Amino acid sequence: MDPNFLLEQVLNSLQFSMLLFLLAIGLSVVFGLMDYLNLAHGTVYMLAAYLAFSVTQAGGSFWMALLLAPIAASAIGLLLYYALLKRVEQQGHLAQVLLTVGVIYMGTDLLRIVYGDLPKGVSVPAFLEGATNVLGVAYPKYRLFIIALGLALMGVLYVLLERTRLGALVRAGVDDRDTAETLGIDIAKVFALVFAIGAYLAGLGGVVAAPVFGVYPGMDVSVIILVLIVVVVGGLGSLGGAILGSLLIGFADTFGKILLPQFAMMMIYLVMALALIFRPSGLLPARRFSQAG
Amino acid sequence: MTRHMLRRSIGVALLIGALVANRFAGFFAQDLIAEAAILAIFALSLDLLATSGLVSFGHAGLLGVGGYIFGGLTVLLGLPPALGVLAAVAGGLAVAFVVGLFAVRTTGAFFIMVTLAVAEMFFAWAFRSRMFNGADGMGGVPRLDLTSIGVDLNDPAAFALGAVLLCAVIWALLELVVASPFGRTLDAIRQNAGRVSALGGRVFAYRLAAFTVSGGVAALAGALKVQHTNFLSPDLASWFASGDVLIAVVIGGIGTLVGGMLGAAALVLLKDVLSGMVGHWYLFLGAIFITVAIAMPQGLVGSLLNYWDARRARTAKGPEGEGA
Amino acid sequence: MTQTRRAAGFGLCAAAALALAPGAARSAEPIKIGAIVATSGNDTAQGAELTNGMRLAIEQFGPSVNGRDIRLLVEDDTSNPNVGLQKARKLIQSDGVDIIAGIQLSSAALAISPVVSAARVPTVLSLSAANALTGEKCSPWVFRASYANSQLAEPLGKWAFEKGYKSVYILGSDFVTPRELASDFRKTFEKAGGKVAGEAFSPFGKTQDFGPYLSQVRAAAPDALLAIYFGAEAILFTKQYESFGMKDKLPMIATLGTTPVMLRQAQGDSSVGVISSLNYIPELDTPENKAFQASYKAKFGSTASEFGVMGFDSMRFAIEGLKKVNGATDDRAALARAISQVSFKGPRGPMTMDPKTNHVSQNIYIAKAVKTDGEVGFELLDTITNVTTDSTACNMPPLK
Repeated sequence: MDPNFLLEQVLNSLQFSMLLFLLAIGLSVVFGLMDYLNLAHGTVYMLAAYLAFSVTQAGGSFWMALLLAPIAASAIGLLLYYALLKRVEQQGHLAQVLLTVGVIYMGTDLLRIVYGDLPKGVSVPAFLEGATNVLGVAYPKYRLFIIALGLALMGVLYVLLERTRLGALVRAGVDDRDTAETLGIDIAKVFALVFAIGAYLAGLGGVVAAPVFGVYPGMDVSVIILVLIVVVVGGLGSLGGAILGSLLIGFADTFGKILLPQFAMMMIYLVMALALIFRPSGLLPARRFSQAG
Repeated sequence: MTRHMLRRSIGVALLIGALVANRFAGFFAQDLIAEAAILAIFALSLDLLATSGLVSFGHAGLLGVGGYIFGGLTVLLGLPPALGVLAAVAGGLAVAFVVGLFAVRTTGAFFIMVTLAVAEMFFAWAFRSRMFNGADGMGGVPRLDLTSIGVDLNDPAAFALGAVLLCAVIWALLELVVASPFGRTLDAIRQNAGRVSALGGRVFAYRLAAFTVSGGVAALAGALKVQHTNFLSPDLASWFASGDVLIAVVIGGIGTLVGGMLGAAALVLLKDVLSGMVGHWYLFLGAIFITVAIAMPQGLVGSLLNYWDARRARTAKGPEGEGA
Repeated sequence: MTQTRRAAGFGLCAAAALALAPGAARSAEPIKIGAIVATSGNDTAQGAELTNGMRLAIEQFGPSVNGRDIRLLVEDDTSNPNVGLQKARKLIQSDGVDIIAGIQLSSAALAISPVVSAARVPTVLSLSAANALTGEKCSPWVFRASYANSQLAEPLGKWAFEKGYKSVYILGSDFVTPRELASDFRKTFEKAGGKVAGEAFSPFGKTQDFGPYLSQVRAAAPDALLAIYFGAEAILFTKQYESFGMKDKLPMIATLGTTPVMLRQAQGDSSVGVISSLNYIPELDTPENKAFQASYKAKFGSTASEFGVMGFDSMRFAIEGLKKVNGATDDRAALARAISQVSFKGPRGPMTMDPKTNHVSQNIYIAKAVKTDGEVGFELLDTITNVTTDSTACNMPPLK
């Protein structure tokens, strides 16, 4: 394979992996910490994309949207959590699925009522328009921005989860909730905070994705399955798992399309099925991690 | 009245209700009754699996296997529909057995995702399949020919009647399965797989058996569904279809068998009534899901049974007897 | 508020008085036309325009035929072919409709066609473009007033070669419609001497990132790219095509759906420069089109895209057919025969139903998306007149 072509495809894979990561990390930690299967995570992503559209329509810049929309998404996500999601916290995955599917249906229709049925677009900021030269390959600047943003956030999250008190609390909660509670940690508060951060990151993902993917009703459902796959392949509740899962699925998706175009759609599922046959609780689950270390 | 008697009376009442409604309803209502009965059979298959503590998010894949085998044999090869039904069930059993060999090693959310992945692979194949006309689907799927016993299944009333009766038979059979030693072991696995395993129970084999049987029933539902619509398309196996049946079971109450049937009827009815009444009807459907999840997290039947148990406990032991 | 209510009240009274007036055809039963469209799910926006177009046609060419009012019963197919089929049965069996219109998905139309044929209900398709519907699977009861895939793609293949595109790379979604469009394009393009440099179809509804495909196209360096996408994927695709900086180097040609009027806001400048093969552009400079757009805007407050026109024209075919039989709907075969002989000059140009296929022959427009005064619109490059479909594929069963 031509090295330039290969480099371009690696960049494509990385770019897609970063977008998956932004959505996966919040879902994974919420899942790992509280055993909560929140299918409405994608709805927050969609909501933020629509908010970004509103901000740019109102004359705001893309950067203003990037600043405001995730915060708003996070606030709405938290509100949703306290008003609805929390009520079935103890009722198991199935009640959670029913409730969050209800939220997806309502959210999608509400956005349809407010914004109409037609897809919307958000423009890339002027200086990120077009392509630039990367080692001899003309590559879209905005995609490089996504890669950079993703890497930066991985760093920030690493520090947050591994080097701060909050991170220690989260990890303690994921490891053994009961013990953490007997040690006087208010897991409910930690969880709410984690939920808010997860919603913020999903919102960030929505704003960043809007110029590349467009904004339309149903954009949540089109990604949520991929993100769930990332989460289970990576293993629940760990940053490392979310990163590894995103990269694996991002690369599998991109290279599946080039190498096995006939089976492009199956490639991801194959990776997942194989991963789970050999590691039934994901590649880097938080619990196994802590037991080993 | 014991818990089981109450549960079964709900099922019997539901089936009788469907039969009575079918007798007096118009064509379109009969169409809906048939649809609900087929979804109910599908829901029963998922609920049987749930008895062993596993929940599938890819059950529509098995529905699709049944539908495609039936459609392939009858439309493409021109074989008689009766053979098609048998082959569909056999195919469902076989596919579920093979998939189960590796899938039932996982549990919980991981099982949910593995089943989803397998179903999506089937969907991907069906979506592109030239033989089956890909995403556009294939019409002209025939119905079972029962003219020899004087029944024309092309009559909506007769087809709905047949679907309801078949649903009743499947339900009765699954009740027997659940009450058998096999079924009781599945229930024990659901409650505590680790303990069953420690006591020497072969958790894997039991779960595999449950998944296999469930696959056969799901494929039967698939073969019925394509007969009902006379049409075969990949939508049959999409994850929306998997989600629909899962929601039917959760609304009705998982692990109660009857709940799946009630949930199926409720879902079909709700969708039809809402989509005919209001625009943006998903808003209302979503609100109903949320309400059920919060008010009755065990589902309609599950919550009713729990309420029943609690009341009986109170009356048996007096007001102070609570908490026992 | 009060005034409008009073006015409405007066209108109602007037209508009631008219209905009671002697000589009015109040005893005549209404003609029931069932419309199967999406009012929920993915295809809602197109469904809404189709319905608008149908209502406008009833207003302009009805609202009654020979004293019988036309009543439109709209059913939601929820963007799902199985539900569409179910709703067709409902319209036939419960509502007893005389005519069915609408039907957006080809899969739904293919499933519904045998049902309406068996029930002898004339059906005018407003969208559903699969060639087979008026080809191998043609029916004397099913008419198509929209377009067939071959009608768009075959003229485009010839046109592209004549414009100097000797090699073309084809990208599209992996489902039947884009594959059919691609193979119809190939037919005329290769016959003219063109070479297909490569072809790739992306998993439909599962592809977010088209980067890998665009990289492949760039590596193949063709003269032009033929892109066949719909809805959300069309947005993703054109935006990503633009961001890869390919717009200046590699011209993109397309068929209806890739850069439609409906996606203009979402696609922004990314659609500018794309050349499409279409059966309608809102900019057509004919008196029929101007009048249509003016009345559509007055009633619904927006410009009609091809979907509004296709809804309008499909209903017009139904009504003109009804007029030919003086509103008598009992003889269904006569009604179907009448519809098969309708022709008129509409917003799209001359429209003629071809009784050999029950498909409409019409003009095809090759147009380029351009930006003038900050607004994206179409610039007409070429008109290919009276494009028909291959009638040899259809072995029309007799009408009985």
